[in-house]
Amino acid sequence: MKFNFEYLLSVMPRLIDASLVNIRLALIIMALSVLLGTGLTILRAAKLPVVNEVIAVVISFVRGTPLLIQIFIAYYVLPSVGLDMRPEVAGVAAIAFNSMIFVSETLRGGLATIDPGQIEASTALGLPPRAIWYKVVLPQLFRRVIPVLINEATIVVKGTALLSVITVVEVLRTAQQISAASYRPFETLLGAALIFLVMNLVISLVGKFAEARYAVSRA
Amino acid sequence: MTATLALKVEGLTKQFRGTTALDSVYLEIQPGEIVALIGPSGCGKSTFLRCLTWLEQPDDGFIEVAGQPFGRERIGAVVRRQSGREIDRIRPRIGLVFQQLNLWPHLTALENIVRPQIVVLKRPREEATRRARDLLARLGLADRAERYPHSLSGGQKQRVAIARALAMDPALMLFDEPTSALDPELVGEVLAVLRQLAEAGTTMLVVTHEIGFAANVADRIAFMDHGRIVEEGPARQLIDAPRDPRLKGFLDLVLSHRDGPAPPLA
Repeated sequence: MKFNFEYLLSVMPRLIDASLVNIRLALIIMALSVLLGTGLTILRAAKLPVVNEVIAVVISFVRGTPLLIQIFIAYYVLPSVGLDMRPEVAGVAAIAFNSMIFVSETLRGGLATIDPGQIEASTALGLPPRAIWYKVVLPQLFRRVIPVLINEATIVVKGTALLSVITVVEVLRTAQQISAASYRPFETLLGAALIFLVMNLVISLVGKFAEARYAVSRA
Repeated sequence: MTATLALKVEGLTKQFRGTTALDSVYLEIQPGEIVALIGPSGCGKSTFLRCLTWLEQPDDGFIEVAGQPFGRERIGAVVRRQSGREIDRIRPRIGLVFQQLNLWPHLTALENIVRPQIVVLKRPREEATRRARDLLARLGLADRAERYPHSLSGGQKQRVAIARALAMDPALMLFDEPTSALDPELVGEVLAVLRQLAEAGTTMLVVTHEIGFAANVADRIAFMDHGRIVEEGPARQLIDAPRDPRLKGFLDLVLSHRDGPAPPLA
């Protein structure tokens, strides 16, 4: 079968429509993982005895097992313990949980680069611990980890393709459906790949702007 | 004398794993007074400042800032440790200027001074900004307000750090070796700022190696060794006629590193 450029163009509108699902899910996942990852970082910085050991076990599980398996667990295993979620919800939960761990590890790495003297100065001025996190530590931390977060965002966008295996009708699943009907997997899968490429190029571009914007005030 | 002391320290003690860093330190500072704290390195000067701001929790002893108990208070015969929130509320009454300054690099000079006023003292932004600009102008930095710390010189950063502490209306300013992290040519600049503060009646406790500054600007000098204030008295008298042999030895050592007598700084 010859590659047919016309056919590729003809499937793009349906794939672009389906990409709205990936974009929506990726945005929700990133928002959740940054929010929860930040919370987890603050929790870990409190150095509570048992808590950090439990978190360490969870981290080694999330880091040491494939994301695909984690998605399967969320969708097929959790219902047996009473957590029956729609495919989209289970998928978002699995990827967000995975990504949260990576965001938290990134932030923890960045935390070591914040001069402890600044925190002492804040304490001496009477800033309560909450204000020190919100006004002093986190603003600097996020500026430093922007490149890593951008990288994580591209991983999340690509991760949404995995949700095709738990019946979420997104770009990849749509492409598979089209190719199953037309027997033209080459064009449709290439079309799906192009859509992911474009989404990630946009993310990289946004990242470049963000880095340039915050480079000014970097010490 | 019945006026409220700016600072009253009684029996302040701090131990680190068996070694005594502070050994029952007593010190009183009158409002408007400038006290220089001198002593060999490792004698406990920095620990003293850190305990005064409760960055380190002293093991024992009492601190009063402008008549207000700080950290621990006595209620009858009972000693109560204040909560973190109570401690945070009194902390701005003591302005500490760190040796390393510790400005916030992600904020401009102006914001470094404005933010703590808003967050801690709940001042409206306009008032905080006005005070910050006044202080910057007083310290000769009016044109540096919008700069970020990394584009300021060492001496300018120091003045921003001083302004940040002063903006909180402290009853007392603490300086941890204000000249030792600076290039030699900037030392004069900073000493001039301290002298300017002194003339404005700011109460100060200055940990310093600058015996010249201690002698010329400070009202009193306290000499610390092995975690104790061994000798204290009027600045000139203490330097010209030290009684304690350890102070004598320390002064000999410090002054012998200079070429001849200390030049007058005024």
